[in-house]
Amino acid sequence: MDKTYDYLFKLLLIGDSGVGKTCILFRLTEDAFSTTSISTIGIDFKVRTIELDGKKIKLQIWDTAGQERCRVIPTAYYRGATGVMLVYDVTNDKSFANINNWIRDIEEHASSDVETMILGNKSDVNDRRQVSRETGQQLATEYGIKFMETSAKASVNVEEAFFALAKDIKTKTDKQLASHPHSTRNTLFPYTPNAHHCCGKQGCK
Amino acid sequence: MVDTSADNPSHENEDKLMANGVHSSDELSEEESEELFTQMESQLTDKEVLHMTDVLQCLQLSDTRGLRRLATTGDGFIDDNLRRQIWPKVAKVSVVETSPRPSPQTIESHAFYNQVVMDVNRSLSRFPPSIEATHRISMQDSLIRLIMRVLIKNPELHYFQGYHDICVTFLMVLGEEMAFYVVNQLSKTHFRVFMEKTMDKTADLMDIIAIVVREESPSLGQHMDRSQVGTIFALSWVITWFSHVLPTYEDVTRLFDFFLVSHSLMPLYFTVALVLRKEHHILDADCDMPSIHQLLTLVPETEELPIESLIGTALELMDRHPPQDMIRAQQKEKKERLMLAKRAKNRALFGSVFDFRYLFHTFTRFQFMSITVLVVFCATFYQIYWNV
Repeated sequence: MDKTYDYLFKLLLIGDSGVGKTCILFRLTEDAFSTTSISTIGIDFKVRTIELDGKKIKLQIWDTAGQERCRVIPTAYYRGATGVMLVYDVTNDKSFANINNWIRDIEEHASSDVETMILGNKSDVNDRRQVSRETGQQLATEYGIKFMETSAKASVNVEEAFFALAKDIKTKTDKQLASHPHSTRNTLFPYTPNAHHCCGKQGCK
Repeated sequence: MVDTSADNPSHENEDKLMANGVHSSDELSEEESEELFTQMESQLTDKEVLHMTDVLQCLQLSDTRGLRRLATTGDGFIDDNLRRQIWPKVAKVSVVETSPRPSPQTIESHAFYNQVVMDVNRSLSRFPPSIEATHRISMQDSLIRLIMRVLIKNPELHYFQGYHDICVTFLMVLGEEMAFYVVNQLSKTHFRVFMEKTMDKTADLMDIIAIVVREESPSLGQHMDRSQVGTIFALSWVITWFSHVLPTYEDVTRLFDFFLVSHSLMPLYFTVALVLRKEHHILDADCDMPSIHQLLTLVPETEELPIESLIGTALELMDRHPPQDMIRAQQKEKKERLMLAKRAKNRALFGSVFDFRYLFHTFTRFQFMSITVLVVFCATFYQIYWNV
């Protein structure tokens, strides 16, 4: 594989069905918004490379079905993830109430040092808003995690949110690297557990 | 491109069905079939004409066995006019049992209603772009009614995202009323396992894909195992009968012909056929989950698939690796996997307790246990050799 990046971070998008996870991903990677988006079934990912402090960071962002019973094999989804974007819809208070359940899901399946951020999406829809900015911020503060309101449609804060999350992960990774210079597990190369018997193309033939 | 007149039952069509009662579509008179034949003959090749003659003959004789055989060859049931007659027959629909439409209140208070509406609203791409917005909206309303009616009639069934993709296909071919009878029937057979309370069993069945791939091509199986790609790349293929991912309407209905008459696990074998077809590409790809996952998920969305040849391969695969054997193999593998995981966990715990290195570590929860084990060991030793 061409290594045209300094860091590779695996990020996940989670949250209730219909909160706009796929639209956020589409905005981040294609800078576009589609009104004919389709329900996500199974899992899928897209890539966006960003630059932070002069370093190239490849963000590999995974998207999944929101309906709880459709999330088959969650452990496979969470494996190697360094960051989670937990999304709710500001026009749907149920999706906000479910944030607690999603946090529990992260605690159960994700690595303990995963960086999480809460996003209140659809911030452009003010006439149907059910969750105020303050309420969202308050919950995030309680959990001690970052919070932003976004709009994939109006392109508000989507890029900023991913930059903020990537920055936190990078800081954490750099710190880990400084204290254990030989340990590049997980954060830098999420798939290294296989590397000893599977080092790229040749190793697998 | 989609022919709206044929693919979408217009209101008149649907009304006709409803007015005549569902029984009307069971019979195809000789004149009607001749008319249909002349209508379509000009557009078909010689081989297709022969195939269609066979299909019409079986249809007139109500020869379901013959129809089931024809679904696996040629172009299946060829055309939506024929599918309207054939699908209810091969799905063994019982139209004797009537089922009233539930009231809007019952529908809207159902636990799955919001999820269904959300998915139907996001199914625009499944409708042909040529239909008018008003017609499309009324079809989306029909789709919601159709799904909710099946869920209300069968409270033991749970809605899953993707069920709407299946239902929209039946709705476009059969119209709302007949689609209900067919979907209602198939939800108790082919889709049953996807509609259980959890999708754990579906996840288990998906493992069969990996088992068949491994048996057919050990090198490919090994490569995919090492990449840890799993089988989730095929989830949307299997649980929607490929209707969520195939861009061409004709390919979707053709595959539905095949899956309708086949064993409920046939979509797994079709998936294996597709994976085997991409064997060289997969072996050339980087051996990691994202690379292979992406390579495979893009195949049905971006490539023109040789559907007929894949159907042939899928049939052969099922012959060579019968579903019952594969289910047993999967259960055995799962048991072994769970046992290994349990043993590894126990070993980790046991090893930690007896690992005297913990004595010299800064406090860990194993330090105390290691000290205890050491003390007991010394005491026993002392008692045996020094205590008279």
